[in-house]
Amino acid sequence: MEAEVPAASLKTFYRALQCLGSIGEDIWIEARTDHLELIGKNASQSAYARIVFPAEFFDAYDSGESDNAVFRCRVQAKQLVGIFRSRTQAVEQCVLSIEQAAEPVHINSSATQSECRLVVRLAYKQRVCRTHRLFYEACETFHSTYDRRDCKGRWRVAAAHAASWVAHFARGSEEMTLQMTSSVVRVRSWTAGNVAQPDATRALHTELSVDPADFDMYHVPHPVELALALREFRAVLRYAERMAAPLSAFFDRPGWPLLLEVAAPPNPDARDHRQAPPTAEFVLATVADETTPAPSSNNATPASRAPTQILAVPDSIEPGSAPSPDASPYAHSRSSFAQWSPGNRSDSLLATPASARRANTATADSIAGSLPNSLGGPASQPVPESRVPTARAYRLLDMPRPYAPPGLTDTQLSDEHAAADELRNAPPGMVQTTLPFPTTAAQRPQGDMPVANADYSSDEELDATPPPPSKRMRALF
Amino acid sequence: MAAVRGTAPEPEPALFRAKLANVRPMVNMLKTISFRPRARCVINPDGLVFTVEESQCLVAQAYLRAELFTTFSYDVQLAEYYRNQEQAGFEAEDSQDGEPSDVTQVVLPLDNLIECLTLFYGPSGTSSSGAQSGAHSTATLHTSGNPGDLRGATTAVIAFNGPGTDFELMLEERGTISLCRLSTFVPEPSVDLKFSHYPTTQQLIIKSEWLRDAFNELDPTSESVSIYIASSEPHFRISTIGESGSTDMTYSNTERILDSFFCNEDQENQYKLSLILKCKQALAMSDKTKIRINQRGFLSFQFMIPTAADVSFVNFVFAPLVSADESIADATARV
Repeated sequence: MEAEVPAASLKTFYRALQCLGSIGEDIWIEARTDHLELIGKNASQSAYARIVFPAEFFDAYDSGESDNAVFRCRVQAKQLVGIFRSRTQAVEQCVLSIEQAAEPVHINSSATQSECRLVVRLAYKQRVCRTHRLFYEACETFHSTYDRRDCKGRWRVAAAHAASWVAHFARGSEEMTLQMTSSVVRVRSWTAGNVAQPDATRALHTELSVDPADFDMYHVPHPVELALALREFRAVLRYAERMAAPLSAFFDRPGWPLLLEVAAPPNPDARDHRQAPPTAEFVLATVADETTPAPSSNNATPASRAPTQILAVPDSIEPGSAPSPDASPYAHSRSSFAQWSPGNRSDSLLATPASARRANTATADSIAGSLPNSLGGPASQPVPESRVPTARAYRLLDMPRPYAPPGLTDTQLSDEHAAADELRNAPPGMVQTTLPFPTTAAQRPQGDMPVANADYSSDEELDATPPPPSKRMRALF
Repeated sequence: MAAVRGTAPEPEPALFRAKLANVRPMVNMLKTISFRPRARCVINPDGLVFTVEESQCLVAQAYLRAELFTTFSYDVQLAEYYRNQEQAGFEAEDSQDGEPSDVTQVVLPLDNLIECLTLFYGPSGTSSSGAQSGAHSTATLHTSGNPGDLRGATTAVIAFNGPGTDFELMLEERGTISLCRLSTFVPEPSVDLKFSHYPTTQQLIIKSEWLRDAFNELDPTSESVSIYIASSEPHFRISTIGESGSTDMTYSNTERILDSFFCNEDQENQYKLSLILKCKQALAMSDKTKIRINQRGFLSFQFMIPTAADVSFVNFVFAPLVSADESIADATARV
């Protein structure tokens, strides 16, 4: 595979890499005969991104494979993004190519192992050249099975406008909801809250109302509310803003993923004379509504398969990228704020604190009930009988339990004391694993050593950091 | 500084005394080599040389010529007198072997010295406007009658009276005077990597901004950086091999990048990356860098730093890494 990125489009290429880098840790590269795809997904497999560069985007593009053959590989996002981050103004030529064990690279008069490398070669003015050879891993890629034609609701908006929605959200916000009706769009931030703060009313929430008239195109046949993770949505918005391209969204109902597309229209200006800007599509998982049946591994109906498994792999077996339906964090958690009956707007900003607190006890349960109650989780308020029991806590117990709690090594497993059933069945976090070496606490004499040797203070002195410079200064005067 | 001298105690005939109109050049130079707590300061009639050494593989020197100072007085006879006294006391140990007797060597705490010099710097690290320190100072207040004082700049008088005495600094800014005494230490045998003892086989002068870019690109996960200079293309290459792959920067022999280029033999040498990165500060301040490699593979960076309408030099010498295959005997046989 060999692709030459035009110097003027290096910024575009960098922005695409940056977007994928902010979504996940790895970038998958798929080189087809007529385009180059960069694919990313996040760690919890709830966000998927795919940016396609048509062959005309490049000064020279050769996928190196015959028709219908595809070159696929995976590289670390951090390295690739870091290469393009600095000083791209002075670059005259940038070539990406794959070196496949052709000739070994000689460094220090000893041939390094002729490994497969992704070579990024940047040629600057005055014949200064920078070459990076990155390790890559040949692997399978994956694609989203969702089609925007299946989605009933859609809209398109200018990127700058959309970016202003989330610009004011507080830093701690983790989730957001998009409530779309025919007359208004409400964007709201949510903080999941943590165990130490079950009282979610202390966090700052922001709600924004947008007029559908601001959208370039707005078609929402019936009201829908989607809850999704803010981090990936922000990454998409940032990308759209930097590309100055409109953002299109396609959605159906809660639980179904939100499809986003950022595609700049061909620009007749001379800046990108190729007139072939990249197209980007993103799939973000949304939280399933209480009313829709929770997909579980038992129901193999198509409706349940789709919302939880947003990634489908062409090959039959793919251990890494196809998650079990239970593992997706959004598949099971109930949207506690999905009760949108007007009389019960417990989360409205207009509600008094007392009424909000009353309604929010149930919210706090589901948000903060991440520890099973049996293990002494936060003293949760009694759940009103009318509501469905807290879904997150309930489902956690059902999660496929690893064979051994995390932290136990194979050697420890084989030990007799580690074979205790209580260790095996304990949920994560409950077990104090034994360290393979004796700790200082164990080394303390049990009373038989003479007192003179028990000088523990010297150890602390060795560990003490030298006093800060300002303290040293005082001694001078 | 006549007004000051009237009230401050008259100093004894000093071995060394110098006055600086503005401490900033000296502070900048010292900061380039400030990665070690102590520095050896060599005073000779031409100026001061501060040397730091790290793990016997890296020696860095900052040269402050006498012309940088407003006044520079160094009593050579007194130095020789002190030197002879010292030698007699030590029974002529070879610690000062080969050193001309008119230089004075003393080891100073470098980070304390920099802190004292930057006493009047504000929280941003730059020279304070002076108003704040002037209003709240507890030291003796004097109206500064010196017309040479730059607005908000610190002037300093540094003095040293011989081995065993303290190194004195008197700083003055906008009427606030501060007197600092730094305890000195007896110099230990110096590490001399003897760069000049072997012929230089490769030399080039490169604009520092290109070298800065190269250093920013070096992979920090790599243990060593390799420098390869050849008489054929590519003339100059810096490369690292890290966890994610290899990175190299190549430069050709064009006048814009390489001001001068001289290569007697093609050589590739490896140096410890963590040591090479210690000269980042010096590189950041310099305009040009002269890179020299001698026959033994030792690398010398000489940074040309503009100071006060003139230039000063900071010199770094690195010892090469000997590869595991090549034994030490082979490496020395290469000489």
